[in-house]
Amino acid sequence: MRAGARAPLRAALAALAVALPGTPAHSEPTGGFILDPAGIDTTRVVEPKGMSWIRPARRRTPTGFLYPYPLQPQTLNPLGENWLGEFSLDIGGMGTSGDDDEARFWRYADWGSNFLLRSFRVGLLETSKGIYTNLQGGGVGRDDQFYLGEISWLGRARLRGSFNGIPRDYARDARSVFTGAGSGTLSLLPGLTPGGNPTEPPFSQGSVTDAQLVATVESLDTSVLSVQRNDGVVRLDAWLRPDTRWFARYRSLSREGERPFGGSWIYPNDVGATARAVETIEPIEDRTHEVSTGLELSLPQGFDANLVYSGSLYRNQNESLTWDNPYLISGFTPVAQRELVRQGRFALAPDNDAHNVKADLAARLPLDGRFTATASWTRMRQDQDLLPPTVNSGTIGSLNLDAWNTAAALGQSSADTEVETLLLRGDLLLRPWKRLRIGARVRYFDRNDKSAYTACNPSTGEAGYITEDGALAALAGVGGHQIPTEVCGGPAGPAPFAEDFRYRSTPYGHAVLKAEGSVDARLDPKTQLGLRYAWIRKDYDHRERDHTVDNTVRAELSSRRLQWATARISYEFADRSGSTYDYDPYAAYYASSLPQFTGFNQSFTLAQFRKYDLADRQLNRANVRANFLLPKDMDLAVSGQVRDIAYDADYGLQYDRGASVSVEWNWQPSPNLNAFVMGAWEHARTETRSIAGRPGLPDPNAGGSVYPLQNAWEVRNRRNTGFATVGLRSRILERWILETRYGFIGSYQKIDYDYASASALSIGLTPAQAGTRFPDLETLDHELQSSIRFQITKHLSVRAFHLFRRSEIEDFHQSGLSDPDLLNAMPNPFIPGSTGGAGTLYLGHVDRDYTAHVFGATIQLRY
Amino acid sequence: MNSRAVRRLGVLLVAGAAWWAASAPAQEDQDPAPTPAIPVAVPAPVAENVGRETCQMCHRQETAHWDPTVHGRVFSSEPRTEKQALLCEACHGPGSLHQQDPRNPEFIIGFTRSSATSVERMNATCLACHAGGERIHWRGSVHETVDLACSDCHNPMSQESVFGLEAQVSASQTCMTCHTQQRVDFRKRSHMPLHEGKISCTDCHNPHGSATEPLLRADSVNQLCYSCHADKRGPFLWEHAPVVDNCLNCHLPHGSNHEALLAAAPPFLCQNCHAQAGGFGHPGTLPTSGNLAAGAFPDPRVLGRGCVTCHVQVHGSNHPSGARFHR
Repeated sequence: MRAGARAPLRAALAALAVALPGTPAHSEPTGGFILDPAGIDTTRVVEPKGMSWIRPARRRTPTGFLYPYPLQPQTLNPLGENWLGEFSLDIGGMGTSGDDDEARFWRYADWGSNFLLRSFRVGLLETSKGIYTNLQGGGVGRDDQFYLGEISWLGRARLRGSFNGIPRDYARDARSVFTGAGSGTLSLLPGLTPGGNPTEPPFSQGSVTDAQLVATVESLDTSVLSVQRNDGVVRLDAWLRPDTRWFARYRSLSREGERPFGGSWIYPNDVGATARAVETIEPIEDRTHEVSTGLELSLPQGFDANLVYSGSLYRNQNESLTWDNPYLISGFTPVAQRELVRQGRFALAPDNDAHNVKADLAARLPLDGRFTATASWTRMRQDQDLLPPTVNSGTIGSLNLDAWNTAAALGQSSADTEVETLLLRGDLLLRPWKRLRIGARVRYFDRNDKSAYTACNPSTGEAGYITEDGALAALAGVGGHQIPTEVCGGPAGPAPFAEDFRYRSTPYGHAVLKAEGSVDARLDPKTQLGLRYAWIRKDYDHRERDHTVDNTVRAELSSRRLQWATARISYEFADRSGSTYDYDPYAAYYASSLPQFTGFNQSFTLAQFRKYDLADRQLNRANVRANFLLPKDMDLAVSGQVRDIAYDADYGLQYDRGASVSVEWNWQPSPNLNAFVMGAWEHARTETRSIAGRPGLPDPNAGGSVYPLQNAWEVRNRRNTGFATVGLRSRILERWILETRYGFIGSYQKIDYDYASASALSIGLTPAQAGTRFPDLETLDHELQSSIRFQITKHLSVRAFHLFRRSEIEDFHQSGLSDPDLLNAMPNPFIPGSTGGAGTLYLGHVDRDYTAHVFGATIQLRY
Repeated sequence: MNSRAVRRLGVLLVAGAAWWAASAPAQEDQDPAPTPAIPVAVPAPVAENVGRETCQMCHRQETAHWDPTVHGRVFSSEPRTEKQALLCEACHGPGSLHQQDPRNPEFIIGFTRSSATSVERMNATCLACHAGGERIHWRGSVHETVDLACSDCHNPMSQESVFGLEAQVSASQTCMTCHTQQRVDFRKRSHMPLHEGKISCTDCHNPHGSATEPLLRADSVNQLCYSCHADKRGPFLWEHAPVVDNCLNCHLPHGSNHEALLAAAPPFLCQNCHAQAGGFGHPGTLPTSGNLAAGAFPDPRVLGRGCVTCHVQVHGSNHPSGARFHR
């Protein structure tokens, strides 16, 4: 179903959505940091008296897992008239040693060696008015600090807030030839000429400016690229009546810092010229404001309703990033023209707004039935001012950049894009017999892209744009992607350029209709068997298939029948088919669809290739979860999954198979001792087939002139991951508590390939050079955490802790990236004897092996 | 293991377990009576309320843990309903029979494995006060249909977690009691910062039910991701079809052995969809170890971040010249 056909339905359903009274899409506040992931008061320890003195047997959840022995109760102590309170403080210092300057070590954590306020908590209760206040936090003053707070007018209203600092290190070894990192402009260091390095071919390694660039990079100090994310939430809940709650919530999510980014000047291989790619640095300084408010109603008659409005406003301080070109674009135009490609400019994430209205209704029905309905409507919109198609000026070959570097070159001044989504869902459950429940569910989701953009330059009457700020013109001497057409106010007539390119945006949309039936049979009071069938039709706008249809069958069984075990087993089969696969659904958005186009319509892609999100496929998946209630206060849990997704495709992803298993043992014989062991293993493998196409006559078929079978290749990917963790907590001699935990995860991934002939490879590469496999991707992480705590008095204790991490990594993507000599020595296959000059300039970040220790000690006060 | 083998295994597992459950003799710890068709949170009819002081005579340690919980504070000092004022008996039902015969599990509403209370009745007891709101989609949700009890995840008797009365010290740890695969995922090379305390399973999933599978807190996967990644929301001038369709086409949400939560190693992730012949032979040629930095012909597709070094705006471009996501 195409967009136009769905329009009336959308309008009607949107009207229904806003007419109905959403599920509050917000969880409890989250807070924690690396030394206290749960965000709890770290001075609390397991209560030596346990949960009960009257029950000798340990309590288990209905599924059968042991509840952990409880932490000490947060009992409030008398502070004065009508006031009760509790305070705690865990304060000290910490330091690191070893290879503690590795970005992965610092990811999401601040290991700074200094003062440590590991946790604090203040709890107060004003008894006469019933006002409870709690404020706690940890990592105070650090980048990963967090705070959680609450004021509760007991039974009437509640104000909660949280703040979470989330540091994210991307690199601590970046070497950049730019100044201005973190701003919207990256300028080359003094001595380097934008658009002017190196000067002239041949682009040998000995070229003065290449060497100068390399020397410059090598002389640079390393720098840190990181982004600090701060997430703050305030939420007020008020119970207007016992059955009615109103809430209002505000969230501010800000980011500030820099991170690695890309940048290109034509594809730097197979090109026949020395075009370049450059890693740049993206400035991050933005904030998302999120507001929501809603009502929740729950009547004793079995009627529940939620009505929620949510708004999200994203504001970016940097609308663009302009960066100097550290290279000279090589090609066939005179150097003086190629030097005009001095800068590139990105449009960064635009300011944008989203608004959502959501309503949920639920009503009790006869036959122990229940009907639940949801309607939700969202509008996402942005209208950012557009940048001119290029930042450069001057004339390169036949292209006058001055006609494209001003706002006058824009067919529209701002983006004016909008997407609406609509969700409607109805769910009916009935229990016609005591032990049988039947269900029927319909869900409809629609994404409607209302945007339409045509790349027109009214000042030239051309459709198109400037490829990479003039680099293509510098390479080829002709304009590139600009075609005069009456569509953009230009002259009708034969196109001067035959290359096909996308000149207007494609409004991708989709609609998903799902109908599901289910039967849940209670085979005995503790065993339930569920069977469900779902039919899912997904209609696409402007994709390779008009629609796909999934038929899914799922069976699941849950049983606590045995006193000593619980099992949950499920099996799912899904079959996807759909309408005819059109390998080129985008023709209408390409220049070849214009009447003036006189070139030949190049094959868009391989006709027999199937994109995996649209391909016919069969899925089989089985899950088993079982836990065993072992004697002597032990748990044993076993889980496993196998899956097989087989795609019906001659080319493209062939299959995605995997299996995993995990075993966990947990022993809690007393409040003073807890030990656990867990091991897991998973395996996954995929295979992809393709044919390396060469531009040419419009024959899209495998075995044709563009996709000859001698260019065929396939790649196989096999991954194994092992995980183990073991831990112990023990109270020794009453006053000492020892905790230790060791964790390991290792992943090995093999990627190998076959190909019919060398013509499947990059131009110029021989089979001997290509080999048959990549070096294995490997990661191996060990972590050992230990702490010992000594209770001095009831209110005072001391604690010392140590963390050891060892990480090993092998990633072929990064091999050599830190060596500027190597990168600038990339040979150009089109220049005989070339030994360099077709390179790329990276920031030089490489994930390295590291070994690091963290030491610390704190004093714990508790009242 | 191929499709046929997985299919056989799955059918065998479920059918075998169902046959066993249907045919095996009842166990001693089954409910003595069938679960009522409409679960009602009422105790045995002849029991009477005895009051907290009586409960506390035996359960002093339990009440010491319960008092500082949100239930303990509200029920004790500011009860909103008559039921809440019953304190212990608000949830466990009148205790007189239990007081007379504490060893008989039928005389008290219990919430643990050893209790005689059915899971439906346990949950109905909780939902008597907690229906609606976050739990409006509980009935028919995946956790409800596999017979999960509220007390599988929550322990109202003790304040272990900061909020939510979770059974473990955090919601995430509670989830991972069963979802062990995710525990592994969050330890992989790139992962959401869950083990670092910066995100919780419940930030994305509503374990009590949702209108969107799998228990998502938004109308679609993308809309959920946009709540923290609004810079990816656009809508952009130039959109990338699989991106607007589903973020999970390219990313694994919990953790991955590849950077940026990618589902596969670049450039093969991209090549699962792209086989175009244009653009100087890429992206359709086979990347090999000969294209590594130390290889004969280094190729940015296999170096660093791969294809997105050049197609840097792969999530969508707002630049008039960004049709190929270069700007």
